[in-house]
Amino acid sequence: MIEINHLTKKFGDVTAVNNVSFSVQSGEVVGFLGPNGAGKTTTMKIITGYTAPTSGSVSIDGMDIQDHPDETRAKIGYLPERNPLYDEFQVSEYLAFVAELRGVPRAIRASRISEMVQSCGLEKMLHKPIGDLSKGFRQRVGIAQSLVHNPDLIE
Amino acid sequence: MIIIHEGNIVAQGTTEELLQAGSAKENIILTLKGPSDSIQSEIEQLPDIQKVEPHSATEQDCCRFRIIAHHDMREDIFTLAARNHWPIMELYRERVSLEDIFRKLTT
Repeated sequence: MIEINHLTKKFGDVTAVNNVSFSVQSGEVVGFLGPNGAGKTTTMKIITGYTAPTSGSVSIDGMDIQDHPDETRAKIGYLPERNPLYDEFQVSEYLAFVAELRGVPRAIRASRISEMVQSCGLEKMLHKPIGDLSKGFRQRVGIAQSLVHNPDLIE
Repeated sequence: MIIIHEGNIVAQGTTEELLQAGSAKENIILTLKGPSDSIQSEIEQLPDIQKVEPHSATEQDCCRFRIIAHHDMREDIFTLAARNHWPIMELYRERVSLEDIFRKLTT
């Protein structure tokens, strides 16, 4: 469960997010809509711990993201708008790298990666450099990396 | 669904809830064959009518209106037209889409 309370983010004189509060229950799928510059990305960056709020708080499963940054980030699978990938890695190498970073236990790492490869339809791309992939397959790799550690929260 | 505009949450709820909230008024487009003045006057006397806006009709001897009301007026309009022998040439509800609601909230 995510609790956002009175979140405000200011960049100088500009208020990007103004006293926003909402909650997301377990199992709930929430779409965040708004025109350009509405504050969507800023809010997402705060929830995922990429940037700090000016005031207000975000808690995930009762833990404040600023007091417990590592524990709360471990619960999140995040695919940013600009899908950041290492072009030099092969898909298999990249997913293994992310799984290790995300602390997937060694004993189940291979099976977890295999599960992601199957569910994202990446079997034929497994040994190709990411730089050679089409935009669609790059997105699939991004989705696979965001899910590899079986997060509670997907953004 | 959460709709945010200039840093503020302007609406939130399920898609159905947002559609329901955005279509609190029932708009009906109606074309009848008959005398325009009498028809408008009779429709305006129906209960819960908020506004009757005349529109230009493309067919001869017909008149066209947008009817704004607080509830679904289709049955009342049918009864009125039948009682007065005004043939219904067109009758449909104007649906509010999620995009309409989004535009309304964010422009």
